Amino acid sequence: MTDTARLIAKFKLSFGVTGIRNAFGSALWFGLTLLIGLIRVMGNLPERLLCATIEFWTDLMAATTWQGRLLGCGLLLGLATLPNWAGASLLPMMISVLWFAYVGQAWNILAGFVGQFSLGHALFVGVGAYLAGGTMVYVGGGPGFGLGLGLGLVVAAALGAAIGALGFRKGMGVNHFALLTVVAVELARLCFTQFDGLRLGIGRALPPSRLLILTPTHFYYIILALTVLLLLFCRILVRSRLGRAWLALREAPIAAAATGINVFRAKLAAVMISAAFCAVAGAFQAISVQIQAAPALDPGRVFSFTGSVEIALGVIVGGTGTLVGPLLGALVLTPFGEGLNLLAARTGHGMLELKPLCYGLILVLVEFLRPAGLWPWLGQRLRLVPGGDLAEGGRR
Amino acid sequence: MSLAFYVNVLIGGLLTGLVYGLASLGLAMIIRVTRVVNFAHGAMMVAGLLAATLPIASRSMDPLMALPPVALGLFIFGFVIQWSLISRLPELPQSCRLLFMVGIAMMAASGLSALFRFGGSGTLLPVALDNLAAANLAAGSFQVDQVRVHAALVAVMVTGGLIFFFNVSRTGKAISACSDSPLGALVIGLDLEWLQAVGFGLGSALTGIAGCLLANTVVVRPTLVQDFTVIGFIIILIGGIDSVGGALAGGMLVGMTEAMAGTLLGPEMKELSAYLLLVLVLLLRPHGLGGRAE
Repeated sequence: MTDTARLIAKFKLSFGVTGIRNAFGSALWFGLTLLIGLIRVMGNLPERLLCATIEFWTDLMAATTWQGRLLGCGLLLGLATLPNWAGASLLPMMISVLWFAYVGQAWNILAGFVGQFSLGHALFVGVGAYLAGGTMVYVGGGPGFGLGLGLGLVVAAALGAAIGALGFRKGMGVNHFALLTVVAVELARLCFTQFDGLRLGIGRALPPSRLLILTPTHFYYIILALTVLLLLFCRILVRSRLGRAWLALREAPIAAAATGINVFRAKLAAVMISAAFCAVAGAFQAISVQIQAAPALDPGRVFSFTGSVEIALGVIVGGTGTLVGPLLGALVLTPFGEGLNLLAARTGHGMLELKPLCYGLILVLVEFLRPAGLWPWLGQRLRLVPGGDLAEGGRR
Repeated sequence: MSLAFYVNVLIGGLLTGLVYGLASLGLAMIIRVTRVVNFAHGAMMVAGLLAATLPIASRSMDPLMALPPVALGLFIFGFVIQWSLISRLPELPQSCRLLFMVGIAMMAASGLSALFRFGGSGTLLPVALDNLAAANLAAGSFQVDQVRVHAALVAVMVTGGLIFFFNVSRTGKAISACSDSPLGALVIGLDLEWLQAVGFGLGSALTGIAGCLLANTVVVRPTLVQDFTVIGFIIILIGGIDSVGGALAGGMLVGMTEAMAGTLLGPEMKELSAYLLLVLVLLLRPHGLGGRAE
């Protein structure tokens, strides 16, 4: 109970109230006391939940300035009400932005927290998409989708574990794993184009999922919920025992191993978690193909190096290893990418190379000017977050 | 099928494998000297290949004419990249250089692809195939394509020259010293930045030369850049990521495996066999054939 009391004191501090001096404060105090009484009756779990919530709140207050809070609230409000005021062209774009924010967050678990850069996350996304799509074709509709989603999670995690088992051996640096992931994506592309076992391979259009009669608004809220939940989950994850182990072995692998962390197993857990979340994104892609421009899964496009880089690039621009980075990167980069796509479509085939060219240029510039990414720096410059020491650090 | 047939296939694979080995040698050398993965590997090979098709397309000149300019051009390219850009990148995050090279590779690949489509020699493919069918060297029941023999000979000569360079010349020895211990090299007064840049340039030149040599035996397709990059990665993963000898051995192994699988199991297994070989090798030796578990 002392923990809770300490947290409540912290909570009050975050309001700038040191004593119970005004009506608001005493009402709050009374309410909290009542709540704690209830919790004492109800048991341990709600108490821990409350502690977590209060801790989250106080940390949020400590990590933002009032401008930051204002902007955050505005952003949240805007995102929550977006389908009501956005036009027909903005909504698909925002779905795309949130999709990249989600996948970027999943990629960030491995690259940001553990420091193992994967250039093959298109593999996990593609596996999720193909398994969900395949079961929707063969089993049909809702149950098929559920089955495919579950299958995709398991298969993607297993593939991630297999790549990790080869690439996380002792003495292997960043390069080894990155090379393995590049090769793995290429292998998947080859398998899907040449051995078309699922009969889904070469650009076959998925049927519009009849049992899932969903509009773009539904898709928007689904992906928004997924993104927010993953963000919260990542925050919990990075503060858990496992997350602390990841940060430790990212900063000093030898010291981390010396403190008793099983480095290999911790990395394996990271790649499996990351891959499983990516599979969810893939399944989302499979059910939302009906509202996209090209309503088909094309293995050449799904399992591509460029696709993997696109997943990673948002986070690299936004800020690798931060929680805000993936969202910021997706907000900046995805509209830019869509604009380039539009330009390529307008001007014909001549501009097809423009997008990879620009992405390559962005990658080079970011690595040269600001390898840690935009987030902590931009936030401090705009006074959204207080300067100096930041909670989650970012990539070193 | 007779034994001679299989031996023929195997020899053909070995000859291609020697060229693969030369390319991967460049890749492994760059990693060894500078700790940077050259993601532009495929782009460099394709640049060499396209340069070599210029003499083919214009007249019936030998594509090997393009070798010296390609080698020189790519040496300068690699040298400048390492000297002026990579050595200026922050040292501490290993991933920084990795991602930087990914960016360079994407720019190079899309630039090449744009150039190739706009003004490139579109008639390149039939000419190359004509050359391929032109001449065979026969000895008894064995026969091999002449162009492959030439390519393999050049590859062996370049490799030999390289071994000579690294073991005899002062600069070569200094570069090996840098790759063995950068700190030690600095202590004894070697110019680390300069030597690393020379190493990167040499590796790029090797990659370009290998691309030149493949000009007559490869079907040009849009995915060629990516294909070359991935086959290079497979070979160095088989050979141990920064092992020079391992890269050579891996190249020959992959060449022979592809040739055998393509003949025995069908053309669609040709590409896949390299991946299977990779998985097999990594299961038995996680650090590759020539790799060291530090």
